[in-house]
Amino acid sequence: MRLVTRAAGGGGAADDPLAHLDALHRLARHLTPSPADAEDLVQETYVRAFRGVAGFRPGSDLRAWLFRILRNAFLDARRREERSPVDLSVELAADAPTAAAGEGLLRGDAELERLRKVVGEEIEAALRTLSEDGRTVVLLDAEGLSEAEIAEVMDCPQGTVKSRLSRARMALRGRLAEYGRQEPP
Amino acid sequence: MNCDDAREQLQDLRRGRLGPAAATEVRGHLAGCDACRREDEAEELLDRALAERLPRHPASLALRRRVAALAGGEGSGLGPGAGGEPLRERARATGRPRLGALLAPAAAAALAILSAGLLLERHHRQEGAGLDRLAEEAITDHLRLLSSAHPLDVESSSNHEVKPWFEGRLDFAPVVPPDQGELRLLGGAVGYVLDRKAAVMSYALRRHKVTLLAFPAAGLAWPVADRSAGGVPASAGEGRGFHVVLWRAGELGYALVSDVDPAELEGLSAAMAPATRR
Repeated sequence: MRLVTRAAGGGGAADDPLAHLDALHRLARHLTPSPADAEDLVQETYVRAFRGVAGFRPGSDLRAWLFRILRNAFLDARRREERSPVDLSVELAADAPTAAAGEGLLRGDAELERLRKVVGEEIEAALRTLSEDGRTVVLLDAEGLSEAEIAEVMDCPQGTVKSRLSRARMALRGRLAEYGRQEPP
Repeated sequence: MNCDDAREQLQDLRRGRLGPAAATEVRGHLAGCDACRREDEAEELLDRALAERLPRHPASLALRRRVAALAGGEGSGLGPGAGGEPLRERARATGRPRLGALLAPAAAAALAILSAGLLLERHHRQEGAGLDRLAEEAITDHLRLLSSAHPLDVESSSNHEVKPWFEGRLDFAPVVPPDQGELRLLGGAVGYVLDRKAAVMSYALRRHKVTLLAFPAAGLAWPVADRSAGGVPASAGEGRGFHVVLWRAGELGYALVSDVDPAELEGLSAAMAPATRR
């Protein structure tokens, strides 16, 4: 297993479980609304990872494996909290393209202009309107994971990743365009 | 190539996943189609916005330290003032794979400072040395609670508030022992013991934290009772400076964990265990 190779002197930063801490924390922050919950989620991820290290397949990607554990821990927590007044996930809407997104090309240059000006808080707010699947696939893609790696994280076929990513990005662009339209002239 | 075909491949083109021939074909379409070119530009701008403007949310130092402690090291050799032999070097010397050996130098330094005892490798060594699996699991759960930034789902000093909170969240009804003596109830949470859900009850005893776990006992290899907790057959375990008292009450198992003196913990269990059997 690669972890062993690393211990024997091989491997690089990608084989260091702690090298992925920030990326895991970033995804956790976008999955849960509370910073404290995000920290707990990351901690739980490492607890599960270190306990289940025997299940790490030789030759597979450590980063994808950790993301998968984090997502499963998040889904477990959400199932546990289903009847709790605390809403761990923010599932405000599915990733159906909005009216603005549906207009697609009609927005043309206006959308491009809007995307050039968009700020971090708006992107975060727009991400929060996506489903958990949508947020995860967009963020993992932004982290640089391949479709095959995202498929491993989300336990779905690669083709599903492609279609989910396309829909989620379209929905995201639609939300961002809406924010632009709400701006005062 | 029509617009639909081209747009299906725009993402792959930007990510460099298309072969030379396919890439040339898509680029050729873009050169002659304003609409698809704008679509490609919009996707590119979204990529850039996500990469450059989305807040990065780096992990806090506290989280970094907690995870480093969880990752584990070599136990006593990592205590404050330890020699600082790199973990990786030690792994080479012993020829044994260690998660601790995978830590970056900064994490190893954090470990040297912390030496918190959340040590996976040692966990396994202790298991091999005969520390009961249930006791070890209870200690791990207790440590997880201690190091959590948000340990309790319900914070209350009243067992009449904490017990009802578990309703609907668990498929069993744990007994939540009330305050007794210096022991003060802090609240509760839902956790896990091995493969099953557990009621986690947190108490304070002076400056010590005490955790009581209640969980379905069916299917678990229960340790042989070698002592009495207020007349209830019980067993005890220890590890990493923590002590555990285990007992059964009908279909449920209870585990009381703390770093208080073992005699004091047994005293607490003697007060709690009979109440859990009512």
